[in-house]
Amino acid sequence: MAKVSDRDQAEGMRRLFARIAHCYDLGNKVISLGQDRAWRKLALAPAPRDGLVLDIATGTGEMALDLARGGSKVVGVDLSQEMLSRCRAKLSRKRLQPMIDLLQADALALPFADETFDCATVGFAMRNVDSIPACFAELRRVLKAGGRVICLELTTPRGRLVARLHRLYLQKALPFVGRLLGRKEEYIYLANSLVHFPMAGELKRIMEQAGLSQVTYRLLNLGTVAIHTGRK
Amino acid sequence: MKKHLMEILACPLCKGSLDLAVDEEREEEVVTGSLYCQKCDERYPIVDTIPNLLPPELRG
Repeated sequence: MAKVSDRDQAEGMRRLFARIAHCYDLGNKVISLGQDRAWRKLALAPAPRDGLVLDIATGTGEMALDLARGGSKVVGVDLSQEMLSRCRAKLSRKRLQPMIDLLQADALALPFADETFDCATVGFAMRNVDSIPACFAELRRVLKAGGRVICLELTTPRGRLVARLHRLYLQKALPFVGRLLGRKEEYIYLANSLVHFPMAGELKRIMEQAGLSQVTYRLLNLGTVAIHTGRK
Repeated sequence: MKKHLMEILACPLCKGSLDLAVDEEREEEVVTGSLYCQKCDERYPIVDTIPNLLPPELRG
């Protein structure tokens, strides 16, 4: 498990997302072929409508906005100040500031008391944390008893042919999108970050080992996207 | 940062309580200021309404 003091990856992520903050939303739409919003909607269906929700790696606020539109009060945290500035501007345009608080924080050292939130969400970011077990353990700490974790993430599909096509897509399409956006190296990194990310079944076991119960997952988009949920 | 956030905020290191110091405020929102943990003797800045509660080693 990564020590909180050994944080080279987190610092690298903070700098990487600062560089791509300006084109992040567009990049996601192109890479997901416009499906990212529908995936988020499906993932957030079990989120409580009137509870307090923590959205980690909130980025430009796409998950947080969908949660707020559904009636939740949201606290969004991110490593990158640049991402949060983009998010704040977006909230202002959509007049959703009263529903969402933003702060710069680390998912492995959350600045909240134990048992604060009704739900915790993470969208397309779990593969970028220093330690997945430590992140789920920290989310569990800040959840109230019975609170829910929702994790939406890309995953490697199981079938050999689909897996090969998926790998080809990541290796070719993401760098291409990155080049169009003027950030090729950053998008090559994001494509490679999936290679070492656990398969959906393994991620479920990691969540259970972190002390979460009733862990289930659902695969979307030919098994290339996974929604994991668990309870404290 | 809206002041009501103080009800749930804690030091990212020791998870203890934080003291809020306001330098500039606009309509119940803290624009600039800081959050201080007495136990860790660590001060976390609030810049342009967003508190930076990253652990010291990530606050580059």
